[in-house]
Amino acid sequence: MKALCWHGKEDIRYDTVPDPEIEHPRDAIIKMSCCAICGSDLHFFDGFMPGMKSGDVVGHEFMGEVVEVGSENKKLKVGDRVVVPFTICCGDCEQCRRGNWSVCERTNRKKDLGDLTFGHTTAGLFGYTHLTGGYAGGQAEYVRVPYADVAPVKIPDGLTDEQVLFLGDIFPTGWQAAAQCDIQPTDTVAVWGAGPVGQFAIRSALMLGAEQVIAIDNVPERLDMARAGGAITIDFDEESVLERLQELTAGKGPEKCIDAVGMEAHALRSIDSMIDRVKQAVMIESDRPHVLREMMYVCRPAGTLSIPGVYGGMVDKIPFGALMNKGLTVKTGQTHVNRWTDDLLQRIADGQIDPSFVITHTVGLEDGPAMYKTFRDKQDGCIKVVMKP
Amino acid sequence: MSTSTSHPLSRVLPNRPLGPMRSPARALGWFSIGLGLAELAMPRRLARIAGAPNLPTMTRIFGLREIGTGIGILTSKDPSPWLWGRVAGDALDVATVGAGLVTRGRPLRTLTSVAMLLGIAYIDMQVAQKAPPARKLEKRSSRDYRSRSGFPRSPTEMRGIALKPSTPMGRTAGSAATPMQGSPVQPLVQAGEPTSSVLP
Repeated sequence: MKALCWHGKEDIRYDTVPDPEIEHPRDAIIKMSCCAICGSDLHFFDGFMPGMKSGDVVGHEFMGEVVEVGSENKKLKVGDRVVVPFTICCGDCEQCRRGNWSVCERTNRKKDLGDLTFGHTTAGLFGYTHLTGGYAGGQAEYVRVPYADVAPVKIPDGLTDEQVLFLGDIFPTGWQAAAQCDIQPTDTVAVWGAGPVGQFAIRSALMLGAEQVIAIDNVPERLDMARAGGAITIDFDEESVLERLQELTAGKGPEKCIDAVGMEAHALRSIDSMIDRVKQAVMIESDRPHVLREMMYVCRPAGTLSIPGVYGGMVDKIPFGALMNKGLTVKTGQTHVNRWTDDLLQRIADGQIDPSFVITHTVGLEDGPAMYKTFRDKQDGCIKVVMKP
Repeated sequence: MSTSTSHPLSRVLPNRPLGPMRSPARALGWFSIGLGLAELAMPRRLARIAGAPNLPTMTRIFGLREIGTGIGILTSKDPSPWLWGRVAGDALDVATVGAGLVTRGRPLRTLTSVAMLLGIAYIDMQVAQKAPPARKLEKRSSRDYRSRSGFPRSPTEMRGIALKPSTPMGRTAGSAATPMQGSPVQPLVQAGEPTSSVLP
């Protein structure tokens, strides 16, 4: 079959690889009908994600038709149309039973690496680093889904792939980012990053009742899309984020701050970001936490920082004094996708939101390698790339 | 309301370079910073390798100049002046290293360094000549996403819709910020309950 494979920094190839097979009775094989490039895929594309191996099949946003089912899988049958969450969950461990799907204790088959890196293992993830299991990903014609009797979400007829594809990651990720803020009707929610997750966080915050949603980015098309979703926008190339946020909140700061940027902040004009770049280049800091610093400084006391943006390792010069003295609450983590999928699928079916608004480019899988660069460099107004086999 | 928040993190420097010459300019920017750090950290060794006069203080000052130029290239909306600054710096470097023909007894090494510097100066000039001022570049693409809300109604009408007991779209929301009643969250395992550990 054909698949997109990682071969090194900025080196994604459209390769021929062996077809996946059922390896465990709970498995299923999915024939991919639609997949996407996620912002977190750019971390390995840019060479910042440790634990990648040449030839890894990448991608964790995908859906398709079930074409083969293991003998113990009672949930799926051949012909089912499913969206597959990016987290692999066993459904049996204590964390899965608590609904903490993204920290499933069993599905990271490279548990030792996870323990060593993070202290404790987290869930296995599709198409990502071997720190999270090294499972083959979904940017491929066929995908083996382990524990396929747990996480995959069956899709009813009448909804297009484009409407439901993002249930596997970015829609629940944006939703969780807003939901864990415990938004009150008088709250201002500031969202750093108007990429795909930021766009969903903006709309989620609005749907959950925020009085004011503010989006911070410097890409005009993304700011346009954020405004369309109801946000006030700040272009950090044109104005001071801190001053503008103070203006918009009567000097009090936003009650809720969402970091939809993560480890590769591009605020090149700020001094701390430049220092981060130098440190990253000489490998004494793995991530660039400009957004974290800015959120801690600007957030209203007793506010909440919600961090769906991916961080991979060590960050420096975090103003923990501001965090502590202002009594800020930090909520973060990979998304517990299955906590939200039933609810969000129903909202899509009800017509409350059509997630396909975020798609800006639809291409064949063979064009994927080029689209990684287009997406990374935000060329041609690129916000979200969907690929089809 | 006017506020005057001033924090080091908010200090704003001019924009980064953009345009077709962005990548070569950025490469030169980082090269400049790298060379500057090396000049700061090991001036005597660099002078020996380059066959230049052993002037550690001056070399360190040159290092600061390189770092400043590099930051300017990387962060400026219009990197051209900084790139021409590199060219001027190259001339200074050629003159300084060339003095090594008198003070050092390694003419071949000195001439090799001078030749390399001239090569770098040529690259700097090429990039500086072709780097367009950012103000002439169009930042916005031709795509228009101003109508892409994803909502069936205006954002104002959609505010708080997930919290309403029943929505205009006929949805009963319940506790939207918590897992659905029907979500597959199961009871916790009881202590001592055997668990499978088979990995696929």
